[in-house]
Amino acid sequence: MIIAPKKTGILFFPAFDWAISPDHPEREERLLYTRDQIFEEGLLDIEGIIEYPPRITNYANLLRAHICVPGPEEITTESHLISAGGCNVIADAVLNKEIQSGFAIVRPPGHHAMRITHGSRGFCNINIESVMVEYIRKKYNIKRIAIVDTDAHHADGTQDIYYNDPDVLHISIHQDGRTLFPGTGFIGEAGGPAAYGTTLNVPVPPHTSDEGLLYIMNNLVLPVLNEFKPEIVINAAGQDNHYSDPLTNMNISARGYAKLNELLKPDIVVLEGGYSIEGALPYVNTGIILALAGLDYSHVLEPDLTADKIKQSPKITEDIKKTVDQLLLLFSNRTRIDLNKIFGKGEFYHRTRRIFYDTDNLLDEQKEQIYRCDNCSGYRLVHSWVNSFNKSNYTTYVVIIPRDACPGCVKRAEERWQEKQKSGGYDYIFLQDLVNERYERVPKYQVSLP
Amino acid sequence: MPLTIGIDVGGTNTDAVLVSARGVHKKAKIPTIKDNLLQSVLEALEAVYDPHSEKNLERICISTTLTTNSIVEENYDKVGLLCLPGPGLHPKYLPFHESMEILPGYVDHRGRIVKDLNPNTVRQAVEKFLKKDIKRFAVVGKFSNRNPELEMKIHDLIIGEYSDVKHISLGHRVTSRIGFPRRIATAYLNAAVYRKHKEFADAVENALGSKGITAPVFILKGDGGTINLEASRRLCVHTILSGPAASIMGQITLTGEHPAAALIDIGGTTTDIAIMLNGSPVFERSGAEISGYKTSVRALYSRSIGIGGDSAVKVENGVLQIGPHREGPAVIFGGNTPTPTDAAAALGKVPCADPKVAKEALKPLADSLNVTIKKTAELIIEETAQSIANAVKNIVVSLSNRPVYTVKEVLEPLVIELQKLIGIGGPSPVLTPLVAEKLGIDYEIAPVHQVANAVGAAAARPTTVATVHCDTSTGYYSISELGIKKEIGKKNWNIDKVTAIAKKAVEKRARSRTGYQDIDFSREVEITTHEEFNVVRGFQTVGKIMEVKAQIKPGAVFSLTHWKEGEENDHSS
Ligand SMILES: [Zn+2]
Ligand SMILES: [Zn+2]
Repeated sequence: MIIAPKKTGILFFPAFDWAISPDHPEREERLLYTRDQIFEEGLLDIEGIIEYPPRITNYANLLRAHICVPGPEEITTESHLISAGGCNVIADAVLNKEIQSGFAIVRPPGHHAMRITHGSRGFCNINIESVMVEYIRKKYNIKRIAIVDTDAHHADGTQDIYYNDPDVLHISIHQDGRTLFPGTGFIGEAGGPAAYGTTLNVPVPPHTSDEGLLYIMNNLVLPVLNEFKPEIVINAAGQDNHYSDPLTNMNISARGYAKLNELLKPDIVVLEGGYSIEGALPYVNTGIILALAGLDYSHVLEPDLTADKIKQSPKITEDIKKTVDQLLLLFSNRTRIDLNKIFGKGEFYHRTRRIFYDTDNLLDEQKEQIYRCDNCSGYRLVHSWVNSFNKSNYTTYVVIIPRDACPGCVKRAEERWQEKQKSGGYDYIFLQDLVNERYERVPKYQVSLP
Repeated sequence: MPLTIGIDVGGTNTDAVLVSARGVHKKAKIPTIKDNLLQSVLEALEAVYDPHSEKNLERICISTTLTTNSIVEENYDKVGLLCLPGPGLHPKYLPFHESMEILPGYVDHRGRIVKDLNPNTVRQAVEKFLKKDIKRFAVVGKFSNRNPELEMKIHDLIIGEYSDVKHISLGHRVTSRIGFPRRIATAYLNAAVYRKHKEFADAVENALGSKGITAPVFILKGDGGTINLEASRRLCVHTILSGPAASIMGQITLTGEHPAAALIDIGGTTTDIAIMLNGSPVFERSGAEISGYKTSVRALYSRSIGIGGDSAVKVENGVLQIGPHREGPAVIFGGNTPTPTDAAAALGKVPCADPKVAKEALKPLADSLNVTIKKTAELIIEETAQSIANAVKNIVVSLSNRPVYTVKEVLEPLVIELQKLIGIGGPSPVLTPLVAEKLGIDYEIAPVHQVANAVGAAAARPTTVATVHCDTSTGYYSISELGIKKEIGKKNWNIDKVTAIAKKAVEKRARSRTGYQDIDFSREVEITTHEEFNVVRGFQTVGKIMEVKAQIKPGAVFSLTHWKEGEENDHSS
């Protein structure tokens, strides 16, 4: 009988009765072949690999990560709540030391869901990693967390949620935004004024293969983690960087992905995208499970894989080296750099953005102000104008009090919250107060909230 | 009145009953002859066989420990294992990998042959085993449950070219379940115990023939169902763990079908716990485990805890310790170490035992606990009942926390609310009421517990499974258990059609087990898997994958719930 050298938890929630729409890539069938492969390989029978049943999470757990507009009820389905809840189950098992690491193979995914979320973009409504991170911080008093997102798409949602949070290191390795949705994730997006250098974007050229990805792991990710010293490491394991994925142009193999996890040694792995449901997912997931459990994955091989198929050109290797060098420099200089040169000298740092919701067909135009405080990461004010192509347009105003807010910022933010309620002028006004756990909306929520 | 003979070969005793829907007409208990199970069966049969009612004897069903013992004692034949693992888990992790020859060729998760066989590698491997005088083979491919072609080709090649080969077990025939390592273990063990079981079956057949007994013979399987002697030869591994199954079927026959019950069989050293839901015993989720091997053999869920009527009772650091060891019989029956049975006797609850002897035995324990002997006896019974109740509770929790894969199942979780406790075994009259009280539920104590297993074997009906997997985009359907893989042709297949095929297949399989003319199998078919997925490629639906598993679940052919010992004679015609 085999015993896994490392105790590993698996939460498998394929949502076999849920789809965005019948022919959509995010549909019932997506994890069918993965189930078949995992079960046929007998992975869940291995001593030391433990299967956990899923659990539905509640709205309160969403609101630490999100401002859901108009409310959590309108933009989620039960499947979203189970997907997020499934990640929390794995987090509990890891933090209660039942297992060394765990893998939440859940759907739907989440890493394109922004802090202010209006619905579905890039197949995501709720950012399942962020909901889990906030759950972990709340329940286990853990502060420093690293998320390494290896999905082929830029993890713009996770980046948005932790952009100004100095305690969360977010590294996204993705196909160059000039060639793929969502079109962001460039080196210059390196974090807000209070968290410069804890957002690292590693755009890689199309056709990057295992060689390039593992180079980034060894030369950038591992040294940066070593310096940041997170208490928890999470791999957002999108599998659309596989050479067979229909939506992207990357060349990663199942064994490459397994190797990545062997190097990274994440505490928690969460499935993100990946739509080569027959040619990639069954093999990549098998590889990741074996790597986490400390078992030999050298026989995991896609039936159609040849060495030529994923050979990386010298030009790509060169490009990746340059990107890694730039990021290493940025990270090591992050505390020495003159932030005023990047964020200006004003009392507030201003930024404006246009966020497109491809699935729900709406456009969110945001103006954000981050208060530049010497004592904390600063409260934030966001105006959002939503132009919907299906529904009527609406406006939202949000006051955010970050978890590390100083008393001064709490007070100033509270004043703005009161002020806006009086003046009105918006369809919805929200308060997300992570210090005192107040999650409010005007007009008042209809659903029962904490 | 049709009669049935049930025989249960246990580790210590072999029990037999002559039984009908009216009750137990004859019963016998003889010591099991360890090295000659056949002799044990025949002697037990002799004890209850009634030549005058031969024409009414409808069938004989035997539950034997033959295959179980042979696996547990590793007393079986060497098997040449031919595997087609393809890529995936490293073969060094597979069961029996030390007796495995890996062959090129494999099938993928859709049942497509990615790489065909190389006949010469098959020949080389077979010859290698034959040189070592290994003549029994198991052939197992990854995903052979989806497409049995490669296994069948190997089978035909071996049969065609090697007349020395005595037996071949094929993975897809021994089980239709997904799980390559379990399929390997199942096929390997099937081939390993094949000879022993066949010799036993042949001998039973001959012995009955020479006595002029013509009633068909059945063997009890680990899933609580029967299989006729002929079919049991090819699928002999399915007869493992028939002992616990006989006990569970016995309890069902004697106390009926319950919506939610725990069944406890309290023995000397251990207590076995099983669960019944909606009138049927619960199965092991992935298959039976035996001697550390995880198999795909369907088996009734049963957990054993180290506590029973003869558990040694001690006081350690002022705390009462019950079990898990047995140091001999109860003191009242000649042992040296006090047991829960002695505690029951001290309280006057064991008929024909001397409470004085029991009290004497408990005295040292009472002294160390610094309480009265009566109090000590009560504590022991209390503690024993509590341990059993806790085990039942834990089992309910672990069965409720099963993994689920749909939104619907998460929102409507399985809630097991036990309503009844069924007790069987010597100590059960004393302990069952107390365990039930701690669980807050009703209880029932099965009558004639001395031969309940034999009653279970006699009353069990045949069980069988058929799994139809249909993939309209590859254009094939398969029924693994029957070794069928066919093109679906041009017809439009839907889930209803697949379901109809599964039902028909399982009924046909069940009906082939002649000897149960009184059962209408079409009414007993149950669908356990019913899956339908659209196959979409490039935003186009290109077909459907459908899988339907139909089963005849275990159940009793007749019920003896209203029977009281002695009654059958009053009505005898
Ligand atoms: Zn993606
Ligand atoms: Zn502040």
